[in-house]
Amino acid sequence: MTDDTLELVRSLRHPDAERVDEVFPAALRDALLDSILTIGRDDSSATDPGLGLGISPLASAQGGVPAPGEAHRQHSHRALIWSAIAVSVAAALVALGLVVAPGPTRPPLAAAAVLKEAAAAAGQAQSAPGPGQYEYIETETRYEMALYVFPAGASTETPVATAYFDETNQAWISATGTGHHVATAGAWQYPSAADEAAWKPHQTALRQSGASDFGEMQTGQPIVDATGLPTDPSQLASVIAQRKLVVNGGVSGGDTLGGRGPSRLEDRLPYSVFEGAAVLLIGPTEGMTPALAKALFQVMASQPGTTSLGTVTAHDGQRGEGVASSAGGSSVDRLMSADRVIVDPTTGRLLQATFAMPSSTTMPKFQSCGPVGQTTTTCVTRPFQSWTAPVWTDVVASGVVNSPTATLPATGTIRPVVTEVPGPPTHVAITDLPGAGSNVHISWTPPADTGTGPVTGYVVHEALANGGNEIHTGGHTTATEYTVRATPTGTFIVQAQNAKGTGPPSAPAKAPPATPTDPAP
Amino acid sequence: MNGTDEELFEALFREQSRLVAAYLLSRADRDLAYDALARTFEVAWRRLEDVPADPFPWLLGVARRVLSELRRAQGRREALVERFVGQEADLGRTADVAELSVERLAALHALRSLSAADREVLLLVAWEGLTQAQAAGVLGCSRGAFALRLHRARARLRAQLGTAPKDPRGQPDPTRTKAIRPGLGAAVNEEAL
Repeated sequence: MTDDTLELVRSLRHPDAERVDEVFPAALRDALLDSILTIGRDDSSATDPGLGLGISPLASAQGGVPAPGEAHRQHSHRALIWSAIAVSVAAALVALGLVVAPGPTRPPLAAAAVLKEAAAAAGQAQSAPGPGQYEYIETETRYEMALYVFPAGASTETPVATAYFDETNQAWISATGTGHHVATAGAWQYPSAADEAAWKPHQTALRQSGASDFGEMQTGQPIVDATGLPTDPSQLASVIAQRKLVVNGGVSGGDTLGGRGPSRLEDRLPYSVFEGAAVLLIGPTEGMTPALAKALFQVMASQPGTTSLGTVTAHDGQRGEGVASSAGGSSVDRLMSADRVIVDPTTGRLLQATFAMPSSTTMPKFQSCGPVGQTTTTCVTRPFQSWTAPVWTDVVASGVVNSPTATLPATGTIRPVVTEVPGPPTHVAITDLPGAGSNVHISWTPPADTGTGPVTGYVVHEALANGGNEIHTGGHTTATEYTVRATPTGTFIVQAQNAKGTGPPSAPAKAPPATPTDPAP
Repeated sequence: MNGTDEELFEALFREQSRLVAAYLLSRADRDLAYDALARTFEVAWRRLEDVPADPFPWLLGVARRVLSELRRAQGRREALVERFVGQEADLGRTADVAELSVERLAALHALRSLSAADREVLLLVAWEGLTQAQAAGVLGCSRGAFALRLHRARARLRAQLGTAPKDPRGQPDPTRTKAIRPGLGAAVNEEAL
């Protein structure tokens, strides 16, 4: 089509369609793939004939040859029209697998199954401290922040750098609920030296101005009081939903998050039932019992909108089953900023919890020009910091100890802050698989420079002749080869990923001409 | 057939989900597009035997019907099915709006004034890059009929382009006037961070 009108029409396509990888990132699509694969091919038990979404079939347009099952398709097409009254027809279609359940929030089986397994294991755990003993919980929490300045006279902020505030918390909780205390150490980390250099002068200004620095005010995970919570899952869910959990202040406080003295969790950020249960499970929590842990996992399992993320690695290197919750908000945004937990279903422990920032909540924008709230006329440049990424908390160690100073070794490995992405893969080679029609095989050599940390996967994509870009695999394999089951039309590009991100693209490799076995219609 | 059903489906999903998502995102907002994407591939999974060798038109046909069903279920109007540049500008979602030239604006109004059927025919070719045979497959008509419909739709679009500013349906409503106002960059700033 070389028509000018069509070019104009083409230019009006919504930009979302050109940015599929941003709108629906690979992880989101992988979660979708996983959740579809958990549905049995012949599993029609979840369908609801009364509300069933009749998918009217395609007319046979593929070369005019009716495919097997064409008669059924015609049948279903009419049934679609009659579905309101012809329940028996709809039921027959269910049997044929032609009616798809509606239920956008039907919980994927895998996620609930993981949480139920964890509930069973947690209920049998024998880790409660005896008299004179303490439950020791050590966690590491990372806040990822965007650092900005307000240039003098400007109406909008300018991003300066990205930083992490990494916080280590240790809590000792006695069986009687007394004598607990929390020790906290926090440190600024920067993804790169450039980030650090860019922010340092502003941080100095921030501190000299007398305004609170994030590192000074946000310390100490509060201890949640779970004493006496019901162990019946539905009652427990109700208590969490009513936001009646009590927090026994962090070490230092005065800000809206740390709290000073007992306060209700409702005074903190809003949370869903899934998130409230995760807060209690990740700890430090006073009054936790195996029965309560079991009930909390059961509550999480019963929440709609959970998605299995498969086996994933927590920050400290422990492997567990990932579950995302999409509670609250609208479906797509929900999943993209979902609360996520990593569970070890065999021990009934939560390894890591990730809490989304409510997108509507504007974090306090700290100013360097005097006490907050004071009108500042002499301000030249106002730096401030704001959370941009979900906050995760990783349980580094937990168990029973005999004194309020004893610690336990970390279960996993604390990984260094990854600062660099890997270099491009090299020697990308494409071979047409003999006798396999349109399949091609791609292989490459790992990058010599893996950046900081190992390569965690490769992205293979194809620059299409029409200007598009198709991702064939999105970083889920560390194998250095991939087979594409399609007729390649463009050039293939491979990128390596590590924990920091995706590295630069390899030199493109062109696919050999396709074997002409399948003439176009 | 080599490979298990799961492997076949995964390959299908990896090869096609991006393109199907692009189709849906050019016709529905993100929420609806995601729901429709999920259901489209759920259908493909249940009916894996029926997926033809060239799966893309088949998937678009399913996606089109899923989208239509979902809209109907939500009680939404189906008439304006597509989602154009500028529609969400007041939400600050797109920076491209400021780039809308007068020429593109005229095309936008001309497209809006066409019937839904004419638009669909044009967009399958212009947006999804389908061949006429593939597009005919999506719509379930013959290649000859599709060629005729495309020819007529293009003729009507050209005619509308000539008269678009005078066509009352082509007049920008207040929202759209706002949408094309330059200087939306500030609203976009937050997302760009």
